[in-house]
Amino acid sequence: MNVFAVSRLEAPVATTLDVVAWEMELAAARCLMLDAMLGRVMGRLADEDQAEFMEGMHIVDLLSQQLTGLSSFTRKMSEKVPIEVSAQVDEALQGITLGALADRMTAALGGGEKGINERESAGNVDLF
Amino acid sequence: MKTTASRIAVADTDRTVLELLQIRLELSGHRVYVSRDSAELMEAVKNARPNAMILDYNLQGAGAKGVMEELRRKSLLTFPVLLMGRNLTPENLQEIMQLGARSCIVKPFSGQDILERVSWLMRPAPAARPVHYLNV
Repeated sequence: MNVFAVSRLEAPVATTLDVVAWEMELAAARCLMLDAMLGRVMGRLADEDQAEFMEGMHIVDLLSQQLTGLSSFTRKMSEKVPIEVSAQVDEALQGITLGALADRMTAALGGGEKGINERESAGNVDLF
Repeated sequence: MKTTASRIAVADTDRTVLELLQIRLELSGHRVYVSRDSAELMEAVKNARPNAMILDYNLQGAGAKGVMEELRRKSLLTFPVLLMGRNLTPENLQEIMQLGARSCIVKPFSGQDILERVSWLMRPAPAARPVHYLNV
């Protein structure tokens, strides 16, 4: 169970879109980090393996661009929605099984968090 | 965009923004010191002696204004500061710029936006025009 799930949490749709945009931008940055790591590994591979590896790097690069594009789109859409328009977000937040992501989004949407200095476990997945 | 490697202190209570900035700046070759509140930031500044700082207006603790005042009081403000924030008013900006921030960037922004702004920030300040209002 997600510890940070809160009941009846409502947030402006514009804010929700903005929070999603930040998360996509972060995911794109993580792709760039992965791409850089793969680049370092590729130098140590035999020539015959490099072509296949290069294809993987190309996919990561495309994924980063896709996420950056979606982030930009979502950010712009958030500016189009009047701030008075709100929606309940708790059910959607409870569906996020990656604990760190759920925690960050809950905090950003006004649901509070563990305590700002507590270290998050970025890879923790909440199992059902 | 490749910029000259520097030590950059980044302070924001929002973990997503903090990690995004850390990844983007580190990939550009900078050394990054992240803080989530004003007390952590003051420690980072004292220990790391950064070349630049990116500071959120609503930083947990003393906020950007309190941080800038303390840095000035302790004569630690020896580097350019980029202020970031959401819904900043001209009064907010003027207040922080008068305390020594060199530039500001309005949230939301992209990873690319911040790299461009940091690149601008690291250039020597023009002597006669230390304050630069951008993107407001």
